[in-house]
Order: sequence, then structure tokens, then C-alpha cells
Amino acid sequence: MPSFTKTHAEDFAKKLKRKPADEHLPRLEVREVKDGPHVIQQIWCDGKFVYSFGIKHGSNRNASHGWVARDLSIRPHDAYEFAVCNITIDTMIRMFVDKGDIEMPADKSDDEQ
Amino acid sequence: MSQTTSKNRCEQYFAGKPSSLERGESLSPWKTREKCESEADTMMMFHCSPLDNAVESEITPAKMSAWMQSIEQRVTAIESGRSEVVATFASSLACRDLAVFKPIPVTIEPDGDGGFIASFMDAGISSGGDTIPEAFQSLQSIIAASFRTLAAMDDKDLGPKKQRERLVLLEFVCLHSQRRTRKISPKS
Repeated sequence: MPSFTKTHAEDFAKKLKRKPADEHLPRLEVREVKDGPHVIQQIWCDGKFVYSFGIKHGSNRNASHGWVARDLSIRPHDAYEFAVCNITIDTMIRMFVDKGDIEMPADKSDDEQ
Repeated sequence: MSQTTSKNRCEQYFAGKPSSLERGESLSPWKTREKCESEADTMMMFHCSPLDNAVESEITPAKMSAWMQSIEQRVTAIESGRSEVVATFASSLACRDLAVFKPIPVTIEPDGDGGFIASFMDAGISSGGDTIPEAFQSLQSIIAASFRTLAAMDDKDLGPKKQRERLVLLEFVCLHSQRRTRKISPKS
């Protein structure tokens, strides 16, 4: 698998902001916080702080950022595929929901049942 | 040092030297060591090697070559600092406002691209760098940032993963001011 670089990490953060095609899925919000040598990407869902990962500020664009997948508890392969658009935001959010890190909004999950 | 070089060295060493059988001697390397001073260094290798346990007649140039290759690979890995996994502890976060209650277990491993990933597994926090010290410092910085963010928040504002992370961080890290006022119970 190709390495997961800083460019991939930035693309990953951008793509998390996309609106899911499935209206039942919650939308993620990404907030950037600068702290020391990192720009920390805080991922929020329904007003809850769910994940975060750091992107090295001022580092080489080809610098490896392999820890992003680990911070989100997903497989490195999935992180790479999402960054290069082979996995949609819907699939990624479903992964987070399946792991129990994100809850489906109450009214929307009731609709599904 | 490449594997080819190691193989060549072995072949050069054994080339032109009659084997124990050809010399009509016993197969034991210990006897030849006593007899031949020029082979003393080589025999010392025999003496220290795992080949001690092998049947003496099974010691062949090919096995010696393979053994030397494996040693060279291990030495190269150690010298270049690319050994498998490093487990250590962080006893400070290198910042003025935060203190560490108890040493934070840190695992540092190669990321496969020439860099390293440092992780605080219990809290699920990771960061990385081009070298082991850089990865370690980067993790210290991320842990400090996470603590500052999470300590100021309530559990209701956090997802399950961040709730766990907050609990773990509160177990290991505190503000310097809190540490000074912390009471230490006398030993019973």
C-alpha cells in the first residue's frame, strides 16, 4: 500500500466535512486547532467531540502521517482509500457508527426501524 | 553490509583450505582450534555461536554463511535504529503547565516509510516523526494538547472514544499546580 502522506491527511480532513448522500447518516464537523507543531483536526458529530488527529505543521508534504488511521481506530488501507476518494463519506461514517464511536441521531434511527 | 559480501567472505575463507575430512582429522572444531592458531578467531565464532548445540559434522560453509548473514542483518538493524518496536515511558510532557503523575507507557515502531509512529496505546493517541526522538516529542506534544482540550470538557460533550481518552489522561497527567497541592499519604 502506498504511504499515507501529509497531503493524504489533509485530503482526509477535507473529505470528512462532506455531506453524506444518505440523509439518515449524521454529518461530521471538522475544526482545526493549532497547537505547537501540530494542526489538530477535531471531529465533531451532533455536538460531541468524537475523534481527533494531528497534522504536522510545516512538515514536508510527503512526510508520512501513518498515525491518522490509528487515531481514528480504522485500518490504514481504509484511511488511504478514503483520502483518494475510493471510499465515500457515507461508508466512512458507517464504519464509525459500526465501531460505536458515533451514534445515529435518535429520530433518524427510529425511522429506519 | 550486503548479504552477497557476507557470502563471499565465507567462501573466501573456506576456499583453498582443506576440510577436516580432507586433512584426515577429526570433525571436531575444538581440536583444530587447539592445533591451528591462524584459525583461532574463526573458532571463537564457533565457540560463541548457536552452532554449539549442533552436531559438529553439520557445520558447513553454507550454514556459516547463513548464520553470518542473519547476524549482519541484526547488527545493521540495530545500528540504523530500525529495530522492530521500542517500548519506553514518558515521565514528562516537556511543558511548564502539565505534570505526569505516573510514567506514560509509550510504544514506538517503524511506520514502513522510513519514519516512526509513537503511541500511547491506553489512551489511543499516536503521532510520528522521521526519527525515534522526533516521534517521541511529537507524541508528548499531542498528549499535552489532548489533555488541555479534554480536561476542560464534560463527558456529555464527548463521544465514547474521547470519554475513554479523557479518563486515561486524567489518570496519568495533571496540572502542575494540582501536583504541588497533592497530598501524599504516609507509608503504613
